[in-house]
Amino acid sequence: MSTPSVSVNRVLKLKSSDGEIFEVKQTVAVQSGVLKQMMEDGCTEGEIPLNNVDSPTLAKIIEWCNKHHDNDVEGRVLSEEREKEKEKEKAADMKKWESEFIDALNRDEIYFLLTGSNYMDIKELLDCAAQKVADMVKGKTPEAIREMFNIQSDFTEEEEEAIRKENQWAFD
Amino acid sequence: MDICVVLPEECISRIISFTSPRDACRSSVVSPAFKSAADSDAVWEIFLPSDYQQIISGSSSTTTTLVSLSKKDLYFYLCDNHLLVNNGTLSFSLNKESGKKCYMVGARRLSIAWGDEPRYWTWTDQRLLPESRFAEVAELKYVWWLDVKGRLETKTLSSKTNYVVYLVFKFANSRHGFESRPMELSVHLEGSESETRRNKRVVLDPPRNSLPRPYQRRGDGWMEIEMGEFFNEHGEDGIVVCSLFDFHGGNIKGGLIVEGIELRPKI
Repeated sequence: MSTPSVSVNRVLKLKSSDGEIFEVKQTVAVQSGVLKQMMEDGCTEGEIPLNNVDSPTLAKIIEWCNKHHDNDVEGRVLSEEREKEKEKEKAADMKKWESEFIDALNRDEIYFLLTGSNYMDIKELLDCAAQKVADMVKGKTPEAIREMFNIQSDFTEEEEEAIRKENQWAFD
Repeated sequence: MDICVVLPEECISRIISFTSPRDACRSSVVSPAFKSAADSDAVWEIFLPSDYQQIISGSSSTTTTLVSLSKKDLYFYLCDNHLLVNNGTLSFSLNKESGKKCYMVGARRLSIAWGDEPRYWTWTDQRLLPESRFAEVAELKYVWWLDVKGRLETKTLSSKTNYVVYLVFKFANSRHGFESRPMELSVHLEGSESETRRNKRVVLDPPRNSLPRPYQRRGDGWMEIEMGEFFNEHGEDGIVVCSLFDFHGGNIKGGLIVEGIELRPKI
């Protein structure tokens, strides 16, 4: 993952939408596709404004990235020792950590995490949060989904009926 | 907070792509924003098999029209129709619920003992048997030694999936040898023969009044009988072998018409 322009000890200064500064190691920040690109282009001097991400969300995102970075580093040493069993255990531990991390968030926090990770292009985090919401959607009727997510449908009755018909199979 | 106001469409698409085809269709009723996300190519590309483009381009059916379909329409086209692939010897479709791959190995691609001996087996043209999806079907005149085998590379199939295998057939007006003697049916992965395998033994054509019937009628004019099942783990480098056989010399058999052997994900 490392590129010539990324060094272990250098840090990036990320500025959240509400003006808070977060320092992140470059080796951690490469998990964000956007920051990685900026590093490769050599434009990470000074504060990097993240106008779509507020400070509580950015703190969460950085917590996630730090955890995954630490795990990656340890994982590399272990695989050299060919301790596959332990690697599996590590992966299971990480899964557990991830689900606890996501489960601890309320719904609005998950939304912000989704938009934040989408904006910063952190695929693993985006997928983890999306999976969590997907699990809530699975098996639900449209009415239940609307209620769960406070969605106002703008469809007229006729439109809704037509869409239902188009997708009749899913309601059988 | 209304999720549609907070999240961009691509995030909602991402969420829906982690559900299922059925959930995605239901989601499209929720609201205009959900519909737009739930119908998007980004979602249905995930539900389609990863190698769907390769499969379509190898099809002898008209593929130009398929490429222009939205991914959702393509998905349902492949569920409701089958594509002939591999020079028309295999038929391909999707399981609607899961998007997993279904294949039927056509009779021409089966290895049939004495299959090229017109005395024993004849090949009937599709024009005489319009319910056949393949150009030819195999019709058994008579044999003592019945041996029909289908082989398929497991990488062709969806991985981490339980597959059930069916013999797709019908009887000719005059048939014999199947009324009382059971035929053996087996499904196994090549190389695992040594494991204790239990073949199914089934009387294909029991007396009229005996229930339950060993076969089911399909909607397409054929009948099917379950040959067995197997779990396709990763699907690399393996071959699944599906057999119908009876080696008992004293029993002459005739009047079986074989369309093919179908492999479908277990529901």
